[in-house]
Amino acid sequence: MSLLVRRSNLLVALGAAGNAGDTGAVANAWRHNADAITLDLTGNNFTRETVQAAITSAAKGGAEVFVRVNKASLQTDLDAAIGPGLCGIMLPCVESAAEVSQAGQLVAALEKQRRLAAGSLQFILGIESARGVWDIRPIIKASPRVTQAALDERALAADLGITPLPELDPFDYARGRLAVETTAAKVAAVGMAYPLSVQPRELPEAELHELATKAKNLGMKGVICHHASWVAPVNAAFTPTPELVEWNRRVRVAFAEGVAAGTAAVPLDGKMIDVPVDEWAIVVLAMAEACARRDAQKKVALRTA
Amino acid sequence: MNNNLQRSWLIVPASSADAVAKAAKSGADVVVLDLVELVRDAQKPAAREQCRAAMDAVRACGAQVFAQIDPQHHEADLRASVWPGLDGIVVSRAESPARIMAIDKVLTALETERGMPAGAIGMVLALETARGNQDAYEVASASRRVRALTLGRADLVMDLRPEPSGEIHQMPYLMERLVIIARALNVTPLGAWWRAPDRGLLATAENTLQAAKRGRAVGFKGALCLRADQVEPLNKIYA
Repeated sequence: MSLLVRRSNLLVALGAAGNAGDTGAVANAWRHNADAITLDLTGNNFTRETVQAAITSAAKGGAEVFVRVNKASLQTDLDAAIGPGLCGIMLPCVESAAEVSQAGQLVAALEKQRRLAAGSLQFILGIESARGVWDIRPIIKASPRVTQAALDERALAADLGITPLPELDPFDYARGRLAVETTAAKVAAVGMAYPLSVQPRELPEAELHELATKAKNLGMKGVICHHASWVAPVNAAFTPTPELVEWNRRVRVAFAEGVAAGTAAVPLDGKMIDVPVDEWAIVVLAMAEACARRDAQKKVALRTA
Repeated sequence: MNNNLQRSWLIVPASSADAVAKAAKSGADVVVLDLVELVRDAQKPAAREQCRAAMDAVRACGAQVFAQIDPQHHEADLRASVWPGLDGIVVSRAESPARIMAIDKVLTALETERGMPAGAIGMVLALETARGNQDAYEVASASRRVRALTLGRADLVMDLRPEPSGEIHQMPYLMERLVIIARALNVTPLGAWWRAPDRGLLATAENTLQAAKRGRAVGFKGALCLRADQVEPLNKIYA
């Protein structure tokens, strides 16, 4: 079973030349143990050299590196971003299947030109508008490069012209649509729980962990982290705990014993273990192994950085 | 009065001259002359006859005028209500793109026949049935006249119950979905986030204010109402 482990994706602005603060954020991004780092080109000045240097730096801790491009300067931005060491592109505010397939063609040409494996660069799609939410199905199927679709609820609120109330989540529908459509298309949904989703900010680690867990329970497979402090609680929330792993090991054993004894429903600690519970146990155990492998990779990278 | 605002839409039976006169002076941005829900079948011919005079009474006070029509009897309702000075129609229980296209055609013919600018009459669709909501995007795309979408009385039409929490089951889903569809089509979502029993004729100024605050926070830009005392809170919140 191949599972995508991209729990935390740390978004950092690639600062304008000479902006020391932003440069520091980029230079230090690799230290935070994020599964992925996305260098945001939005609204910034850069050269191909600065982008390539930032990609190399961001990859030092074993993170997959993405570049978030501008819609208005797609060709220029792709040209600056695509090179060795890049995992893929984050396309912002996607609103049609056509723009995804067009971006796919541009990327294919650059892969060829730069001798990168054809089709190797992935897409993370930013869903930031009502149009994107409504047309999500054709959008996420528009290119085999699409591995994740990330709902930006702050942008969606702006698109709808609303100031949401913390106690009234306006995006149950949008989030539910994203979760169902992505699951059906075998693409991973990315997003944070409400209300942090509409107002990303720094919070105590315990609160972040709770909200990230909620996001996971809503069907999200990862979080775009707007602050480095989000990374640790997000990684933890999306990694099966040792207790959960232990329980699911016991589930598998008890179920196998039940099947051997001629029954497909077995009681265990007061719970009923049947086929869907056993199938879920398989997923949890596989995810735990995949997370452990990913963490080991990052550890090795950090040691040699 | 700023004649472009559409914060409050007060629905009154077209058959009641008193109700129309009161609505005209209520401060509502739009008065909706109803030929469907608030008029008994026996009174419908009379309501249609009174429609033009009612429209003139409302316009004299400065409010915009819409007529709510029944898609099952759209020819008769449109012939009665589409006169110079009408701003648009509300199509109750809108659910079929073909019917919306048919209504569009009748409107075009009446605009020509009655010396009105082509395309002057706008449409608001009330998606009150399961079918209308399922096909909302296609229904709302069926005519370029569509300016706004509302759920109207979907909770009643679809028998969506508020027990025991007070939150009307499935309405949050339908409201959030409507807002997304409306924005995707660049038309205006109209509504408020009602909780039982504060809706329809049981609405008060205070619970309308709360419903409008919730409605505004999820994306609605104005709302329909049945009572004159709801106009002020709607105008305040959807400012």
